[in-house]
Amino acid sequence: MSIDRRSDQPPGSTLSPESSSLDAPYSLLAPYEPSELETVARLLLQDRPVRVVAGAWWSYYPERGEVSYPATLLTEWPARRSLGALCHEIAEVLFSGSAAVPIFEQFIGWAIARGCELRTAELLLNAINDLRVNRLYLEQFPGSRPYFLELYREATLIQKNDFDQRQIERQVLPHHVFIDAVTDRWSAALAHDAPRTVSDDRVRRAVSRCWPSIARAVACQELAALAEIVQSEVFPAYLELVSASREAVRRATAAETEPEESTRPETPSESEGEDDLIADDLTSLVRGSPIDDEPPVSWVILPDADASQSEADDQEEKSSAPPPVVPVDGTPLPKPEKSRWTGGIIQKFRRLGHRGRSTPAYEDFNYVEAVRRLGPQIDALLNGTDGREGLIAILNRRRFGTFDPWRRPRRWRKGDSGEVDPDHAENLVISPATAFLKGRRQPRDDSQKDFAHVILLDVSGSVVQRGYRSRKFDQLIDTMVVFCEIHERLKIPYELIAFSDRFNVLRSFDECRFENLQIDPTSAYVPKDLSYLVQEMYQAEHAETQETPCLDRAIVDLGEPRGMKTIFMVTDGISSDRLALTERLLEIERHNQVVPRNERLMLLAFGVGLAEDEFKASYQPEIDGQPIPCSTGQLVRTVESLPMIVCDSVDRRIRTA
Amino acid sequence: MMSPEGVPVATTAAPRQFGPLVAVEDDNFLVDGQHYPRRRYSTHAALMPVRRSPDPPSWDGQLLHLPDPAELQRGVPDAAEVFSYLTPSMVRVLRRIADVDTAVSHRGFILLVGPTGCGKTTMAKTYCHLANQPCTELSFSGDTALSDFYTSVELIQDGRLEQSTLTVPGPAVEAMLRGQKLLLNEINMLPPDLLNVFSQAMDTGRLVLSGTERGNVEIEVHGEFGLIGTANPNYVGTLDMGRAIERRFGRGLGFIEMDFLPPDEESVAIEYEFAAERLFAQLGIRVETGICRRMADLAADLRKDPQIGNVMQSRLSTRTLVHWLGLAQITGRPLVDVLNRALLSTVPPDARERAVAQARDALGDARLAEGASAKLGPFRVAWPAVRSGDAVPVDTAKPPRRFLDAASASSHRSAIHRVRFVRALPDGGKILVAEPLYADGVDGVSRFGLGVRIRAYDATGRQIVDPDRLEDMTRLLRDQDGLNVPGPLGRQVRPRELLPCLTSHVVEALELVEAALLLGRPVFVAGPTGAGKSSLARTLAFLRRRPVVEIGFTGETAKTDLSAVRRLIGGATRWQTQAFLEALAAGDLVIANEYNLAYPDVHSLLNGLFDKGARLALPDGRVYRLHPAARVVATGYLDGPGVKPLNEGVENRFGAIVGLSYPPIADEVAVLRFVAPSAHLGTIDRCVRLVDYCRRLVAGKTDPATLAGLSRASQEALRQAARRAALSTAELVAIARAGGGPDFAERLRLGILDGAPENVRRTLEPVLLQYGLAGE
Repeated sequence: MSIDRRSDQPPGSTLSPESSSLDAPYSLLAPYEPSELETVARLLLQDRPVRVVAGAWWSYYPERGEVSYPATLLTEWPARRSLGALCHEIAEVLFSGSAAVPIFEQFIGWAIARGCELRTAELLLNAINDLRVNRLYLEQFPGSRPYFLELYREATLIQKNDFDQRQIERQVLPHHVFIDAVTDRWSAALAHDAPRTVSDDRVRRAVSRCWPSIARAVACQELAALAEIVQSEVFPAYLELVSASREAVRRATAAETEPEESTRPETPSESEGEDDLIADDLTSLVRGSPIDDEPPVSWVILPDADASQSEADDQEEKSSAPPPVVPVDGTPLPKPEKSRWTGGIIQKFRRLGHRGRSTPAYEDFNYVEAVRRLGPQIDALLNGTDGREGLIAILNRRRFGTFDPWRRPRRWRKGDSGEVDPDHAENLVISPATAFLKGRRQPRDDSQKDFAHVILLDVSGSVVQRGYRSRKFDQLIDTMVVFCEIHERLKIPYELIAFSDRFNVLRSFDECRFENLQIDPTSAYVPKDLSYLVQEMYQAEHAETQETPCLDRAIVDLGEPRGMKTIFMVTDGISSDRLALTERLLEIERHNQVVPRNERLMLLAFGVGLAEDEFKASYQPEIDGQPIPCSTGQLVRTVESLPMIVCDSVDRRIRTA
Repeated sequence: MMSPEGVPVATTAAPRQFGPLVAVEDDNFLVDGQHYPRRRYSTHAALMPVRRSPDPPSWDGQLLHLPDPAELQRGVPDAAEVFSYLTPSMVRVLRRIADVDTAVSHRGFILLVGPTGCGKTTMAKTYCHLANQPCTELSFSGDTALSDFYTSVELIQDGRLEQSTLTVPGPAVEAMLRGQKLLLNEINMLPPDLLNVFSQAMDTGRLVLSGTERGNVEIEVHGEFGLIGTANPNYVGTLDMGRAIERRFGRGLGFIEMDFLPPDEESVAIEYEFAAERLFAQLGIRVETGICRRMADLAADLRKDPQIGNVMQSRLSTRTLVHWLGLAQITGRPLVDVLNRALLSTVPPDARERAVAQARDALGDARLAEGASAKLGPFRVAWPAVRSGDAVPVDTAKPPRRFLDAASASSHRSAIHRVRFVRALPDGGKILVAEPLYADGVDGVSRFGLGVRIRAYDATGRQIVDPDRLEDMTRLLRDQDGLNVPGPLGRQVRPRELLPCLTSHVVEALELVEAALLLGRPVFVAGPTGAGKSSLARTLAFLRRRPVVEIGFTGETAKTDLSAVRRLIGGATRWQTQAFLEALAAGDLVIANEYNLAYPDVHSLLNGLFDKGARLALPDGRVYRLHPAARVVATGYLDGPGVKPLNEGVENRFGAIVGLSYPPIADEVAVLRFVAPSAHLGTIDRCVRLVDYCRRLVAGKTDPATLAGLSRASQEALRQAARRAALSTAELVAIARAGGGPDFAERLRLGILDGAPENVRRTLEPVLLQYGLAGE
């Protein structure tokens, strides 16, 4: 379809789903799936900032930077026709673009002043501009001709819904016939066929008279030049046909409605109400719906609109419908409804929105500086200290079966096959049995490559209060910095969630994708500036410690990544709903009983502060006098001891998985 | 040198100042006001042999074969291997070394620890030079074994051809016996359990060896023996040395931590180092003090940057600053441009961006003196000025008019040519086939055949010298007569092995690579597969008329592939150098393909070859020196299966790390048009755009916002399609060449879709069909 400055009705059945008779490659015989069509579109659009989204009909929305396609109809269309329609929309992107909007507005304003309805004027310019962009696209991509032929063989993408035609369903309006005839004449020329005969004399005459001008307009490079020609040479004839259409509608409406007006006075309002209902449904369900009459901006910044809501609203919405925990029988969890936007982008919108709102206490937090300050602890954790292996060594061994993947394996094993040991060639004579080297490495049975961690950070009122410096919060921040750094360095996918009585995903799995599992050397690692995490934590609402909804979210998010999954909880241990927490831990434990050992979920809690009894009671509950295996708690008295405690816990977790 | 009384005297080095604080006199050297003695060498002339009847033939005395002590002096590092100027901070380190080495109680065991490129090895050699001490340099790699440097068990044959084994001392034991300084580079590459082999010598001054020619023996370590180790802690492939080893060096004594010089000193140091570079010294080119200071200040700022400092520490060393100046002087390019293109190519993108921005603030568009660059012109290839989007033939670049180094040794190897065959040609001409016979170096008489030489004559009896015709004849002999035998290392590059043409993108890379080679430094060309890395190196070798040896590295590449291997020959073990080392010793240009597929701890073996002095001690005591004309161009892909990170020390020794990505679209189109002139321009342009987009998709370099709205299924489908269509430049060139051009899009479509899964075909085929062919 052409440029869409507003919403359109869904199409009628003007296009038949018959498949093409043209020679199609085998791969193009079956209709396209939406994902396939979106892929083709992206390969054609490449870097252009235009998104292709499912909608009700083929449309291009320049101000939104969107092309919509009818996902529901796609399966009924042959692949080539879908491609033809897609090519046309991309032609609009390439050769109309957002620069077309003011030209359209100018033309429509001019036409309205001459007694033409807005949509009717737009229809004319759209129809002729469609042919121009098609021509330009064909010049640039000559191989697309079969797709255009298939598209226009029996149909047109133009939707003629400028008039209320509910009362004249069987009657075709003259100006619509004109539009169809113009399109048909162009497509017939493309196919080297004769155009179809137009039965309406008025229309036939108008087309004959206007065609040379239309052909010149179609040959224009620029839309502005096309609009000028249409304005001066085509519009007058079109306006005459529009008048005829108007008269036909008036007559038909009068004939249909007069007898019923007295008996059913409420009908129009009921009908309107019904329309509103449909519109609401479609607005919420379908992107690109022609019924949507919201300003374009509401589409473009859908996530931003989300972000612009207060955080409290956001949290309320999430906490009001907490995701369910993993069922005991191991069936997969239903996915929460997600917008097509990634968490990362949403977060970025939020970050932008939140900057500059906090008090100065933690506003100026410098993450990179903190990384430097905590460097010794991080280094100890990663590289180990005297007599103690660091996480890099532990993980490298589990992932690659070797302590140091960057050293060539020394070949110690001797055997009776393999290559000659170049270090001891004399063994060929002295000790032939040991002169040959066998394999180099033995794979570990307990190899574990993938891990996924969620880190839950308690920002409740017992940890931090806005406007005050807090020792616990300082420790929490340091803990978070250490966590982030080791995960970034070790390339372990992680998610950060801050929680109080509501939770906020600070950094999602989408934001930490790693190309490979090979841990980069220190000299190739650049810490990211994650200062915003602290600012967001500080600006969050600091209320009660309701960890269960947050825990539920973590469990759901851990459903997707592969590997061994662990939840780290950093809290002061004063749970506001310990019963619910214990209940959730029991559910995790029950779930763990029915999954393989290396897929079991575990919660490692680190207690910041001194409420040891509370902390133990919350995270190491006992059942029948036995502690729950899926949860352990460690008290962190000072941040200096954190690396050792974390290393112990992670090490134990990896070893016992 | 001996006095008339036979008393040993110090050899007089030319009086030389090393800055205001260091000077060398005849028999001592002065460091910061403190005098230290220089070693003196006597000869056997002082020992008067006793006249007596010779021993029976079956007796074998050790004292009859004493090496001449004066020979040791040849092991003293020469002036070209040491610092020419010592700043106050350097002097402080030097003085500590001198104090420890001359202290009677500590036995002179020194460990220099610090970041790569801060001058540890050169400092050790400078000390040896000043102290007139011979130095044996060993570079360790991760798979270095004791048999490489300490003792090895060798098989020998006696006069009756009976085999027996014995323990043979390696260079380390020789150094202990004869009193040399043992310079151990990358000491922490060696596993601590092997490093412990020095402990006994360090603790007791004595050494016990078992199973030698004379049974189990004890050696008293020579009083002049000293051990100087260098280590870069926590670098890729290194190991923790262990507290025990560190303690033996003694904190506050021989354990010396070095760091980069303060900017005011570093600027002076790099100014002197620049001037001492052979090429610049020969032409009297110096660099402005002000520029050096600005660069040193910038380097200091970048090294201490809280976010990127750790990355910059190993990338922007003092050594790198000298390379930077050299590259900028030779190419005439702005300093910041050189930094970005040739020094920070392997740095993570965000760090690189930040560093370059800071450099731009500090240096603007400063260049080094244009006049000096012009003086260097005759040493360089005359590169054509190619505009973006143009492609010109390789022969538009003209070879240098002057060469810094003599031709490689391999071209002067003597051989006797034996004519073996005559082959008649259909046109009446003939080919003479000769076999070069080389001396095997064992008895001076034996020779072996290696390779083929042909001489051809036309029907009139005139010799054919056209290289293309001769190559055709070689092919004829190989294909029809089966005449294909191994040849010697080092070949002249043939035109069909070169880049198809020159574009602005590739000329820029060639200029930088050439500049690093002119500095006598190895070069690393980093880029994706099929971007033309090896072809670029060959093109440069072709234009500079250098013989080439190409070696492919793998994950199995070991120290023995890069240095020497012990072979069992005729019942006895013998060390033989490998092709890599032989090519370097012969002065060839070695192209080391996929350099970083080898483990980083293996590369470190070569560090000694890339340092000043450029030598490598073999386990049998021989020292290989790099031929002055020898050069290494390493190529590698920075990310991909099997790729390892480069060890920081290794990386820092490269004179330039030039990123060679796929060409910009305009240049790639120009290349394809060059090889297939009849291809439709629009078609090529569209195809290249698609391929370029797919490459960026695969590499994750597209704007994520354009993919954000895609469903997971779409993203996966897109990724699969992109992987299929992300062809390399080499593949595109091959496709363009294959059909000559008119059917380029069709061949490309077949190339991409042939064997592709159905889901990939369904998304790529309609796109490729559109690019096609209806328009041609």
